[in-house]
Amino acid sequence: MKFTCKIKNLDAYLLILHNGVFDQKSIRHFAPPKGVKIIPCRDTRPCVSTENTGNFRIEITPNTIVEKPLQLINVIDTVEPLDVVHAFEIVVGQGSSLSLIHCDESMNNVKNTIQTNVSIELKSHSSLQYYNLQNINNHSTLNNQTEVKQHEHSRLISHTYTLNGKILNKHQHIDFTEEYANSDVQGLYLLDKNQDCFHRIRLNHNQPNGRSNQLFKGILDDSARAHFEGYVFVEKHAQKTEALQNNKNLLLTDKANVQTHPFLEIYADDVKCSHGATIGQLDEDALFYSRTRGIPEKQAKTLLMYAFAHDVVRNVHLEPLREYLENLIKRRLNGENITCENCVFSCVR
Amino acid sequence: MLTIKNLHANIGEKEILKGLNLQVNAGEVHAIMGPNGTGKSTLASVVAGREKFIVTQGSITFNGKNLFDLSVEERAAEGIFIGFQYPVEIPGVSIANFMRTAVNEQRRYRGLDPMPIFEFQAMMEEKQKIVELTDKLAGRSVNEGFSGGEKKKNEIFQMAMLEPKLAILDETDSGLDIDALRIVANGVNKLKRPDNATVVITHYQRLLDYIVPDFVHIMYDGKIVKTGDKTLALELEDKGYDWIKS
Repeated sequence: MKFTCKIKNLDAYLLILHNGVFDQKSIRHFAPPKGVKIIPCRDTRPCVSTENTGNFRIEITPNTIVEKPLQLINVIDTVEPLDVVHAFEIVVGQGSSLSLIHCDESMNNVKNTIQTNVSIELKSHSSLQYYNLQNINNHSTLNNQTEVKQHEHSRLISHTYTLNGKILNKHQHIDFTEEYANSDVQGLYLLDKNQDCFHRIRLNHNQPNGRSNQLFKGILDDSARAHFEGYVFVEKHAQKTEALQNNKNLLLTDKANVQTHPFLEIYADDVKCSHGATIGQLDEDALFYSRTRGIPEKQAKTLLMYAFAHDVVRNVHLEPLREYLENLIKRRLNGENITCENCVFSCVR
Repeated sequence: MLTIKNLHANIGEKEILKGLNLQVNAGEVHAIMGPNGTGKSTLASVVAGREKFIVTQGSITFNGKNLFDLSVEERAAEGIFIGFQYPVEIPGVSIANFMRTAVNEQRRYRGLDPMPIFEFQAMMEEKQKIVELTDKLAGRSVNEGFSGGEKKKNEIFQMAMLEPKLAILDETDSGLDIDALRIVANGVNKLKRPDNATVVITHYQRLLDYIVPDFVHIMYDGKIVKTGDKTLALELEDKGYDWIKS
């Protein structure tokens, strides 16, 4: 079985999981670049101790700049409805950097529950760009749990995109265990029909001089529902913390529903923290202005929605991935069905 | 080209336009002057097709077509351009993308193929010179973070790109310093052709030092109360609006 994920022009190291289980052939064919180790958990200290061979650890040895991104695809094609579970751990060594694209991809319409547990440790002066995409069918549920531990001067850029799936739970828990940790945590959800999406972000500023920026945006059509919970916790001695949080939503119908809950718990007194949450409709003035230039209402709406969404996508550093996402979002906003049902753009066998 | 007869328009219960008449022909430049709150901007909005203004009486025809049968975007594609007093900021939509969509949608309406990308880029470069805007313009979001002067220059730039038959420029001179005013006015003059027409709505005579009108109309209480040539603007400057009110 051979899968290729069609992100045009993306030159990446590819790792495949098949229904949550490590594809042994894939790992045998995988020639990791210098400084990158993929260790199935059963061969090492238990990361998540189960028999499931989908559990593994990615280790980046100190002072390694991994030039090409690593792309991890969990291909799901069970015949019967199943719980598909996989877990992995990433340790980015001191002074190292890595880009990781992680996608869960349905190949059929079987109603699955997909559970993904990701544990990330960023050693001092390391950096990770973590892009979490999913392209599961619109019957399936995804539970995604990400835990991050950040050491001194480490840098995290995390993006999560939610376009498909029935119920999507995305929980991210980030701990700053040393000073000068830096995190950009972003997400975009485009939902319609009866999709249901829940983001829960917990960002713990346990040490001074940390910086974090959360940006989550969503567009909801039909009777889609979204829930955003953003916790920011600043310890008493975590002075000079800068923590920003923003959750913006566009509702296209009366039936769509958004709940947004910012929670800020701040015990230090020399900090810069802010949060904002908006739920609104498209800007009528901008719509009218566009129409006076000859842009029909439907196209004008798409243009404005795209601009709203692009605010997140523009921060994607990998250009081929950014282009891929831009295209995906354009098509999604034009009402195209972009799930893997037809496998037009996505993983092909 | 544009014929407005006995136009009455309301916002909510309030009547703003109270029987306005105006005839604009190809090749002409008209100026509409008048004190605040007399309905100058409402006139521009009604021609553009803004829904919140309700036309209760009268007619507007544009090149033989009943304007009220056309949507906002169709009016634009028929060749009507509105330069706004307060251009809207559209974060995230680049000017290049905005204009390319507008140009191609108007072309589609006229039964033309989309403009080839290289031709479009060349056109962008050429037209932004008219209002002395820099090359960096294309990538910037529409009006976002623009100074007052840049916003107005951007309006004239869009007018240049869309090549309308009729341009209605609403208070294009407001908030401009003298240099920006000169650039904006020169832009309008460069775009003047025998087959198009311009209506400038303004408070002050100073714009008319740069854009010389064939006709000057004075608007008061929802109607045009006086029409003359460019000397009327000078007379108005001299005597003030109280002269009209009495």
